[in-house]
Amino acid sequence: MIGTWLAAIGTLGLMSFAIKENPFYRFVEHVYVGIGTAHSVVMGWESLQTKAITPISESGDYIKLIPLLVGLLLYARFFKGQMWLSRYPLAILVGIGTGLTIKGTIGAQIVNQVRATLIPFTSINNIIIVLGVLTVLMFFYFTRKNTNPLFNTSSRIGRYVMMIAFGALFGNAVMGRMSLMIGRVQFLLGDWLGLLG
Amino acid sequence: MKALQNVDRRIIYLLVFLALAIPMLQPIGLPFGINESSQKVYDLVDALKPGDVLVLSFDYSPSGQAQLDPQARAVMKHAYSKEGVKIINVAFWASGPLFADKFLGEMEGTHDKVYGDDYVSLGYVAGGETAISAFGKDMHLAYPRDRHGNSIADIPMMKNIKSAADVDLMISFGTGTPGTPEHVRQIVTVYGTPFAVCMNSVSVAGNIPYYNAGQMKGYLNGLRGAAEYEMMMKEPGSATASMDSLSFSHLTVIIFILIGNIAYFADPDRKKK
Repeated sequence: MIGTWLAAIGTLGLMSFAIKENPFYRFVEHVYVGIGTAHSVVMGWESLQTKAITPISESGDYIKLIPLLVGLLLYARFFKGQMWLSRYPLAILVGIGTGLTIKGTIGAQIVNQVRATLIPFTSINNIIIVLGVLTVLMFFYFTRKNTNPLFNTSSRIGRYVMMIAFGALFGNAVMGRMSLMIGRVQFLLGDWLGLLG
Repeated sequence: MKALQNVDRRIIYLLVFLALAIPMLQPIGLPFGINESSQKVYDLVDALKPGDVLVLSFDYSPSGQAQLDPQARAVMKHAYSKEGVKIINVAFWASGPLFADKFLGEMEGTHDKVYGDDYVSLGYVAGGETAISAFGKDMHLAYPRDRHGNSIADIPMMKNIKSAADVDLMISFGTGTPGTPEHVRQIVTVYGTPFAVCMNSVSVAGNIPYYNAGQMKGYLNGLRGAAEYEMMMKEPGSATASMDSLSFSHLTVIIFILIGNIAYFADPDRKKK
């Protein structure tokens, strides 16, 4: 009961921004950010505990001390003169992240995507996909000025293809935002006021 | 026309609010169809056989609840009703386990699955894409313990499940990063695990190329996707109830877009500006 009332007051506080920015809105906003941060810290600590601290203390898995110490070096940036130590864990993080991403990207986002575009003209969908990709690529061809009418026409079509894509993106964004609002209105009318059956 | 170009935004907010609230209080029941992408998600879950392994990854935060909660609730209900299917709940977002716990709590007593034998909650692992990669490679190393502190080696159903190669279907409930691209890069491309996504509407346009390329076998699009899933299960719920509101809110937005454009093009001073 108290939780529902707190959530309702918080919802109204955030919605009050629609009228104008006010202290009530700012208070709820700060509470929301604070709770979110606190929860992330707790979950991060839980992850650290189950993946490193417990295995080290209970199972003697001392190899896990290495990543733990490397991770702690990140905090060296708060100590004047020792800041350079924080570059090592950063370098490891960036290196691993880049390596993993590149490895996956080549297959998932280049090879497979190109393969999905190399399709026969057997349906309207396929024709739109192939011509859409080609014309948009033509739009981004900036290497030299081109006065060829065929090139310019395809470039213009590419612009329209992108505008249609942005329209679809906007439509989905509207649907998403309305869904968020529906969730809150359902909560206010149903859980809080009990007006929904 | 000048007045139409300068409608107070608070009037628009109020009308949108009414367009959402009135159909909730007085439902009309406007019909809606089932998209192919949603049907595929349903079929994938429905096709799971006894012994198959399903991974449910909760990769969203409270800001995505309005769209993802109804999706997750419907998919979980369906999955937990499948006899003999082994289910692993994981999260690559810190808030993910909260949702998994919430739905498991809601479903208590409605299914005959036993914790440890038929399903397990592994909780959250930090690290984003690196964590997804580690999970795909060796679940036992990525998650030495489950959410309740039990050693993963002692959990009966996990004895023969080691990597993503042992998984028959992975479904991610996601709203951002890490999300679909990361799962496709680290799980689908490497292990060929069948993968479906339940996502918020904003993410759909960006992730559709994965669907067209066959890397994503199906997807649910926001609240609409959740409503479609509820209809396929023949159990209309909160998402189905909100479809009227969604339709009327879209209508309101379309009307204002039209009014704005008419006012703009009818303005005689337009060219001077």
